Parts: sequence; C-alpha cells; structure tokens
Amino acid sequence: MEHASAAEFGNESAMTLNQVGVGRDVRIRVLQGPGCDRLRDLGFCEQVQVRKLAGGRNPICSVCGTRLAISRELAEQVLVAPVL
Amino acid sequence: MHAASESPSTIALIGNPNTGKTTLFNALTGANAKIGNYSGVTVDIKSGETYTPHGKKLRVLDLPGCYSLRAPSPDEQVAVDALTGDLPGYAKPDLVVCVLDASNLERHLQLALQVIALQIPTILALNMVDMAEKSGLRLDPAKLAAELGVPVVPMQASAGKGIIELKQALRFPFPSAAHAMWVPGTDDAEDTRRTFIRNLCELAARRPDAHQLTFADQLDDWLLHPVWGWVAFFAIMFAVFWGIFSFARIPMGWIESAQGVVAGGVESLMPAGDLRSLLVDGVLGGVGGVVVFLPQIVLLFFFIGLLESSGYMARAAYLMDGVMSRAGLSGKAFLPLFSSYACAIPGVMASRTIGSAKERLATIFIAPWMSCSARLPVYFLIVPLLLHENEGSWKQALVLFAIYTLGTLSAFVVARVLRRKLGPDHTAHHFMLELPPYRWPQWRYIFRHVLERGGSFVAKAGTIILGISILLWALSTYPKADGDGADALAASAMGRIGAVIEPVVRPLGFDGRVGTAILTSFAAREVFNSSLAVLFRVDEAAGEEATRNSLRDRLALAKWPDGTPLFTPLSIISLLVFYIYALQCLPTSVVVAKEAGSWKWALGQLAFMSGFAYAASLGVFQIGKLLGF
Amino acid sequence: MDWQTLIAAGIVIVTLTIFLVRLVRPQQRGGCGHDCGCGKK
Repeated sequence: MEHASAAEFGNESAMTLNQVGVGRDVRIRVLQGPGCDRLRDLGFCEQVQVRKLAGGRNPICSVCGTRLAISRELAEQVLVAPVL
Repeated sequence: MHAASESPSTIALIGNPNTGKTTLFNALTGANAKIGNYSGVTVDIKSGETYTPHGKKLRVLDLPGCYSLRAPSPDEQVAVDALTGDLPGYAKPDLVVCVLDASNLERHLQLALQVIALQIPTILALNMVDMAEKSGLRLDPAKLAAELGVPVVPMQASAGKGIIELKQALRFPFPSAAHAMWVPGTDDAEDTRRTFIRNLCELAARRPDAHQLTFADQLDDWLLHPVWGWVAFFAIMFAVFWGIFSFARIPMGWIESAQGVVAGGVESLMPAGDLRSLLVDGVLGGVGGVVVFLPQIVLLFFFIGLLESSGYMARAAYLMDGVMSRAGLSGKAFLPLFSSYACAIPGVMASRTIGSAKERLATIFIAPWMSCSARLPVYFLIVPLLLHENEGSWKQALVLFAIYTLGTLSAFVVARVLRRKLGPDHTAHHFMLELPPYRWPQWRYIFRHVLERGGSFVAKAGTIILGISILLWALSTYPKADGDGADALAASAMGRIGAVIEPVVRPLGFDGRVGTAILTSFAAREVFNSSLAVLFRVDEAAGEEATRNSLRDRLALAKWPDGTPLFTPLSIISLLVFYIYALQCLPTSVVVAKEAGSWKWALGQLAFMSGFAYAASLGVFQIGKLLGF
Repeated sequence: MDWQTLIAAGIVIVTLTIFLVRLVRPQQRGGCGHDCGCGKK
C-alpha cells in the first residue's frame, strides 16, 4: 500500500512511536511494515493524533479516546511527528 | 400477527470487540449469554429469537467481535463467514445490526463501512451513548444516518435504552441495502473510507481534542506498573481465594447441619437395612459430599464475574504478556487460560482469539492444568486434612493458592517445551490489546450468571453424581458377607476392585479405597468425594453410639490394616498433586479434539496428563518417604 | 430378602438402566451433550 514515504519528511520528524516520551501527543505520519494493515484496523491511521501513555515492552497509546496496547515491534512501524 | 409460514428472517449482530453486542443480544432474546469487559468474550455464534413490533419472528445471531473483515484470528473468521453465509448451519443474514461504541466512531466506522459495502441491509446501533456523552462527545445520529444512508439508532443496551427504537427499525420490510459509495477491495477504497470517516466524525461526533485524563488512567498507573501491578495482581488473586474460604464457612455449616438432620431423621424413621443404608450412606453421603461445597462454587463464579466485568482482566493480560512470552505464549492467552479456572471447555474455545495457530494449540494443550471448578470439592475436602485447623484460616487459602500456582507454572513449562517443538510461526503475530474503560459490575447479569452456574452444579449433583453414588453404594454393599466393617467392604464388588487397584496406587501413598475413588472420579472429578463418602461410611456394626462424624473426620481417622494413619501429610500432598495434573473430563477431550482439529491432540493430551499425574504423585510420595516425611 | 433390600435393589437397577440408556444414546440433546456446568450445553 503506497503512502508518502518517510524519506519525504526528513530525519527530524521521522521518529517511531517507541521513541516518543510518555505523556506526549503526536500525530501519525506514516505506517510502514508488515503490520500496518492490522494497525489501521485497530485505529492507528495516518493523520490520527495519539497520546503515548506508557512505554516498555508493549507501549500503550490513547487513540481517539481508547487505550490500546501494542507490541514494540508494531510500534516501531508507526512513524510520528510531534504535535506542537 | 403475520403468519410465520416461511422460515424466520435472520439478523446478525456484528461489531468491534467489547461494544456490547452480547448485552444487546441478551436484551433482545432474553438469553443470558456470557458477557465481560474485555475483548474475546464471545468466540462462538449464539443464536436466539426475538419478535418485531408486529409479531414477526426473527432469528438473532450474536457474532464474535472483529476489528475488520480482514479477520486474522479464528474467532473473527467465524464472524466473517457468518456474514457471507459460508458458515454451515447458519443462513446468510437478511439484515445486519452493526453495533458501534459511540465513544469510538473514528475506529468503529471502519467495520461499519466494510459491512455496508457487502450490500446487506444494515442498521447501525450506536451503543454506550451514556459514556460518550459523559466524556464530552457531541453526537449527531441524524447526520450520520444521512451521510451513510442507513438507519442509526442510539442506545445504551446495558440499561435497556434504545431497544424499542431498534426493534422499530427492524420492522418489515427491512431497509434496503445502502448504495455502495465505492468499489470494495481496491486499495484506494481504504484511503477514501478513512478520509470520509474523519470528515464525518468532525461533523457528527465531535470530541474534545486532547486525551482527557480520567480516573482509569490514574488507576492504570498503578495496576500496569511493572512492580506495583504485580503486587496488585497477587493481592487480588489471594484475596479471592481467601474470600472463597472465609465467606463459605457459614453457609457450609448450614448445609452440613441440614444433612445431619435429614440423615438423623431417616435413621430414626427406618429400621436398619439396605434401603436405609442406600438413602443415608449412598444418596445423602454421596451427593452431600459434593453439594456441601456449593457455597465455594457460588463464590468462585461471583468473584470471576466481578473481575471480568470490571475491566481488570485486560490489565492482567497486559501484565502477564512478559511472563507468558517466556512460555512461548502471549498475553492474549491469559484470558482463555483464566476462563479455564472455571471450566476448561469455554477456556479452550476462547483460544480462538489467538491469532497464531501454534500458540493456540499450546494454550489448548495446557488449559486443563488451570485447576477447574470441578476440582474444588476435592481440594476443599482434602486440604483441611492437611492442616488440622479450623476452616477459613489464611493458611488454607495459602495452600489453595499454592496448588493453583503449581498447576499454572507447570503448565507454562510444558507450553514452552511444546512451543519449541512446534517451531516458530510462519507469519509474525504481534501483541495488541484494547484496555477497556473500568466499569461498575453489572450486578443483575452477575447475579443471573452465578445462579445459572450454581444451578448447573446442583443439577449435576442431583443427576450424574446421584446416579454414580447409588451405583457405588451397590458395588460396595453387594455381594454381602458375614463380618462387619472392613471385612464386609472387602467382600463386596468394590472391595475386590480395590484389592486389584491397590498394588497400582500403593506406591503413590493410597490404599485400595482411595484408588477406587480416584478411578470413579474419571467420570466426574467431584465423584471422588462421593466415593470416599460411600467407601468410608460409618460402620453400622459399631453400634448406636457411633457418632455421625463428618466425612472429613472419618478420613482423618482412617487407617491402614497395620494401624498407621491413611491420610498423612505426605499422602495428602501426593493426592493433591495427582488431582492437579490428572485430566479427568471426557467432555474437555471432546472439545479439545474439535478445536485442535484432530483426535490425536486430545488423546495425546490425555495420555500425557494421566501419565504425568501418576509420575508426579509417585515422585512426591517416594521422594518424601526417602526424606523421612 | 426383606423389603428394604428389595426396594434398594430396585433403585439400583433403575439407575443402572438409566446410565446404560444414556451411554447408548448420548447425543439426544444438542451441544456437547454433557452438563459440565459451563453453560454450553
């Protein structure tokens, strides 16, 4: 599934969900990896704003008001940019 | 009333997990299907009936929750198959009610649009509007309906609100299928859908922008904490055990007194004889030995119901993911395994929520080692023998806790070995879990559920266990011989069986009577209590002065022919170990064969667990003896 | 044989018959056919 690739955004804004600090709000830019279909089904879609609630082995995020826990590997496939 | 000459139309309830489909199903059909505040409660299709306002009968299907029709896990696949009419035994639905969580439209409308694209008449049920309003969401159902082209019914199924409006929408003729807005299946459709949903939600479901910190978040800070979360977990589990022990004491006392009164009454009304013995020793003793534990069973299901409806279970699954991955499982396996503590059969079926086929097999294989509720009467009879103290003490709760922990840890070890042998998955399966909001328990549902399970327990006691107790009594009374007590028993059919069994079970620390009781408990674990009651009955010939001791007291006094006590701490532990590990439930094996897809798994499981139980019991007893216990 | 033994034996025979009949025709009811108490009869 072709979407804008991470390269278009430059290195500064292409951080993964794992790299986000707890309590920060970010907006999803791009999903890349084999799990992106499943991520979208759950609600992690491009342009959606999420807040990271917890990190660690299985990060937890608040997506549109719902708490979702996903594995680190899946979170690695979600590229985000901070919401200023 | 319309003539119901043609077969009733079928409507299906679909939606994301945990949106209240089953609650709605129960409200529509009057059923009492299982609900819980975590995803993965419904894994099977439930069927019921309801009536439109005009009296036309409708068949209602409750489908497992799914995030999307793409369906990566077996339970979701069931839902998809049902929608397309590919599920054997179920007609393709004539109408679909897509249940959405009103607080989650951005995420749930995905599925709704996929369903609408299937060109089946659809109604959207906007459930849990109360929670949406409380969190500040502004909903516009009319706008939603206009944009999507389907009826939209706001509701709160748990409070019964909106049900009538939904039934109104179900009147004949059904609303026609909405115009497909885009061609399904193409990649672009996904994108266009998403943009559409986003815009729609801006208009019809405005939410405050930032995530609102709620009480649930503060609670989760503790309950999901790497250290405090575990402390809380063990504290909760131990509290449940302790609660079961303590609160059951008084009702147990009532039941025991009642049994004593009835037994005394029968004895005073009838002269000594076979019928009296059948009634008192066989029926009362046998069934009584099981029914007396009804309070514990009721309390167990009550606490499980509390935990399941609160929303804590998802947190526990999250905590357990790290530990379980060392066993080759994921946190998703926690919920099926937890269900197995009540009964392995729904636990095995709940494993359908696990995407990885190999992890699923491992979970199914170890599920029987989560000590199920049928073992409770055995544990509660035997554990007090170990401690010689009053019931309700925390020591007994601790022993029970240790029993459950042993079973669980052994299961994890076996799961790890099994996973290694099965090899890695072809496709990666990642952990993902929705943490639902905490909710107050739905007391009415819990009450009905506990009543139902308690009723099943009593019904089983009154039928299967009653029948087996009568047969056991006959086997231990006939053929008759002169002599009393032990001699009479030895001459009977049961005694002879016991004599044959004894060499097999002696190395485990059991005599022929206990061995026979174990054998009979393969019909149903609770029968162990009944058999012991019949086999260790009050000796009639001892005369009228023989006090009617409880079964426990009689067991404590039981002796080997050479005079040494039969139930020593070591032999008791050996017995407990046997019951932790033995698989003694044919219905479970049948379900395992079905869910695992072949009888080989079920038979292998039976053989492995039986052999392991024997070996473990043997090891414990023999090594214990060597160590001087 | 006194009346008690007669009646007792009768009850036993009836029980045995019920069990044998159920063994031979176990799937009369739907579901798994066993009332294990899980509610999925």
